[in-house]
Amino acid sequence: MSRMPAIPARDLEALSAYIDGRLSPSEAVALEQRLGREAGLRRELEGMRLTVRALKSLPSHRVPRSFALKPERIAKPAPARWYPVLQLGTAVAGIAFVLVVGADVLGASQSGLATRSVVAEAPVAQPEAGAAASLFAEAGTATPAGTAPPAADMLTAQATAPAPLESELPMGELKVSATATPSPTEVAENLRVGSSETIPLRTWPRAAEIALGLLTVTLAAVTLRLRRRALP
Amino acid sequence: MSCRAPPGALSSEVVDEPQLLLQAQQGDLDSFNRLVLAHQERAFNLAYRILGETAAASDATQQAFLSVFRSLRSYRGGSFRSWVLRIVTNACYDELRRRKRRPAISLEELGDGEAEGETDAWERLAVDPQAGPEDAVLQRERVRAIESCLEGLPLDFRTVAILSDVQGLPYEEIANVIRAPVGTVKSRLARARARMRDCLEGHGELFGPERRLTDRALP
Repeated sequence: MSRMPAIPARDLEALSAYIDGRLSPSEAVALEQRLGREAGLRRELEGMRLTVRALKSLPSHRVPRSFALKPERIAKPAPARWYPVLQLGTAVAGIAFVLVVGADVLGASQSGLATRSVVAEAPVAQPEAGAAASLFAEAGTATPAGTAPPAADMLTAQATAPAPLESELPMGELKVSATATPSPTEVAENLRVGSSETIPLRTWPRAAEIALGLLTVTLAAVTLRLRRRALP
Repeated sequence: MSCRAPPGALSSEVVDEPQLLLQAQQGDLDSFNRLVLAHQERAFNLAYRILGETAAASDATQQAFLSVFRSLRSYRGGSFRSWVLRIVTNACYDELRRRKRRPAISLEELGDGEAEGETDAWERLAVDPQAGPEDAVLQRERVRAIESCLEGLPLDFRTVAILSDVQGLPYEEIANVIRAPVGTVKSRLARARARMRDCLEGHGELFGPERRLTDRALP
């Protein structure tokens, strides 16, 4: 649309600042020297001056009304009567949520420690179990499938029977006593049982966390909405 | 109903502005409203030039003064005028963003508003009473052309051009209003002026003896 070749951006800025008297004396002198030599630059300057004059000629509009604030506009309406109850409820639900999540995380970390201790013993136990198996094989006493030797029966029963303190174990803990000194076979059997029959994760903390989380968010949203409505 | 601001209000020279500010910060609504009266014409004109219609500009200006009142306690000195204009600018940007989010609704609103605002604006234009009918028409056409070109500028350029060339603010104050370095103000202003010049070239016949903005015979 413009019929004139574009001039460099820095020249545009210099011309614009020159019109506003914002060039330093040395910059202004340098620009004036160029203006004396370059007709294109003079045209740009003249066009820009006329543009600025045109913009300055725009009339000021009268305000359509007064924008002074009225007292009722800035007065805060009284918040709902049950607003403090909602505030308290939000706080209580939030605290309960934090406590439940904290307890859950703590329980999970203890469970993780116990699991790691068992896994740490496994590399030591496995070769012994393998040695025991090879001894059976060497003695020619290979046990047919489904007929475990008496000792193995006892171990299996021990492994599957509920431990005395099982109910006190944290969620997800293996049925392996980390403090007992198991025989190689016992260790191998326990690992097998532990890996396949891990107690399922308790679901109640998750449900409580979700319920409390939802309750907190809902109460907070309602409280915030009431508070915003109370603002002018 | 039009409310003429007191003479000199556009220059926002309030004699005891610090005192009024102090009282307004303590909750004195009358003092605050005296500040409003001193700054409202400039604030409204800025909003009008950014938004291009009277109704939206009025809403944005009112919203801005309400925000100013609510934020008075957080005001930490500096130019009160710059602070007000910054809040007005932000209110206008919010309105433009809102229009962008709801284009289907805002286009209708914009169409109605523009038509109404335009008529309203033409009625309000300060045409020289001494001018004859032809001059008055020409003057209005010129203003229409300048406003049209101004509205065609990108928002950042438009804001700087309005603050500098329409409202006459210095670079430093513009930088304060738009929260940008002075170098950015200079750069945007130069580009805005160049684009305006290109646009006004298309309306060269409206500008009298200086009708061609460029490509004129120069000495």
